[in-house]
Amino acid sequence: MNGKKDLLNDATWEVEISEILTSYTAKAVDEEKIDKTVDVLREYMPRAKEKYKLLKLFKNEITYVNRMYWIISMLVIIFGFIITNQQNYSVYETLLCISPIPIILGIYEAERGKREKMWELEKSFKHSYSKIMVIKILIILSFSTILTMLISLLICSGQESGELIRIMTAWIAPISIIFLVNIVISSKVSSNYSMMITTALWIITLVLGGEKIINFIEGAKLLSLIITISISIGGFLLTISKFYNYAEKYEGELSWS
Amino acid sequence: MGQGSEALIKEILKGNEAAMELLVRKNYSMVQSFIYRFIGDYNLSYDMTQEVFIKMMRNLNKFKFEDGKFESWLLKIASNHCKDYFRSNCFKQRNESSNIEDLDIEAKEFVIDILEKNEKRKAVKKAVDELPNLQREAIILRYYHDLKINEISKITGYKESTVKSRLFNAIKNLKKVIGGDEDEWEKRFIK
Repeated sequence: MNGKKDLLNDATWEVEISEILTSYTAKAVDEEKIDKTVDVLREYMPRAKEKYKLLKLFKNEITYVNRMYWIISMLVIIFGFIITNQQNYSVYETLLCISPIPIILGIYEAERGKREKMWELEKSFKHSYSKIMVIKILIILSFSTILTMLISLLICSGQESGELIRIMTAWIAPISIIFLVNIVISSKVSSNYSMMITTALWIITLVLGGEKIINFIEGAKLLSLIITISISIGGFLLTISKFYNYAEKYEGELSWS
Repeated sequence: MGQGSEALIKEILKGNEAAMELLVRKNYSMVQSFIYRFIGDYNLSYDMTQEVFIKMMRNLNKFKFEDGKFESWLLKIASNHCKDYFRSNCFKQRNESSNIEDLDIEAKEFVIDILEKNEKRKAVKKAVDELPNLQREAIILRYYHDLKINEISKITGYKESTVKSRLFNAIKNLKKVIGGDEDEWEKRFIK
């Protein structure tokens, strides 16, 4: 043990062994190898937290939505509100007719990237197609919901609370159905056709069953209406989930093509 | 730890790529030379250096500034990575198939490097390469990276007394290979 102690504490020996070992030099580092490593490590850079990334994406996507979409949607709803008030149309009838319009236009707008072959550019923002599409859909749904809700509250001001439930049924249920139908159709055909087909189907439904729907809204008990609204909201969530899966598949197809 | 590295790590965690590049450039040579001397293979040392830096990036958020030098932490990753390599099938297969001729072929690849032609360097490299892995690691950290016994202990995860013992045995083994006046050695150190 003494030997070890002496050996490791002997400054002269330290110098001697260092001198001997110093001759075992390592070749100068290849700069290209460093550059390569740095490039590889860029992939491993810490990213901003997911929730902040999504918020940023949400903010970005709002700015990418065509201004005409916002304007037309607002005009349609305001026009409906004015018509209902001045011409004494049934508020349910008006909401049934106009509330799905922002959704139909919105899905058309959301698919603009795909339609105009902008998808590769959008993908370069490091978000998946499915994520971008779901964010776009959420923007559209939020906008439609807020807009229609505001109109509903304006219409219902001064009336009993049950009336608000009836009015909400008159727009939540239609937009839920339209949303589902539009997503299903747009997964099969181009967005131009899906918009036309969905609009046509909605008009046919209104012509053939509009009266029955209004009778249901006016005659149903509040509990039935609440259940209808709940099913509609569930339908929204299910459709968004299905839509996400569809978008993932679409992304996969793109990457293989 | 150096203030520079601390500041760079904080910047990297914020997503600053330039800081990452600076940190890598600052430490690349240290890691690569350690790995090269530890495993004795020049080409493989580059691949492994890259893997060590990837590990560093993956674990950078776990690095605790108060625990000490960043360089020691990085060398610890490199040391563990080399030990993983020695345990791997890849190493075992290479070891089984390698022989003196292979080493000669490898040495010939460095023919453009005039240092490789240096007989003394060759002898020391051979002596270091022939040390058992743990002794080699201790020698490299002590004499090529100027680390103190307690720092080597932290990096390797062994007690200081174990590190001292390994260094002692490593030096004895180096002596056997390099040669020299054995009596003088014994007289001075191994009483």
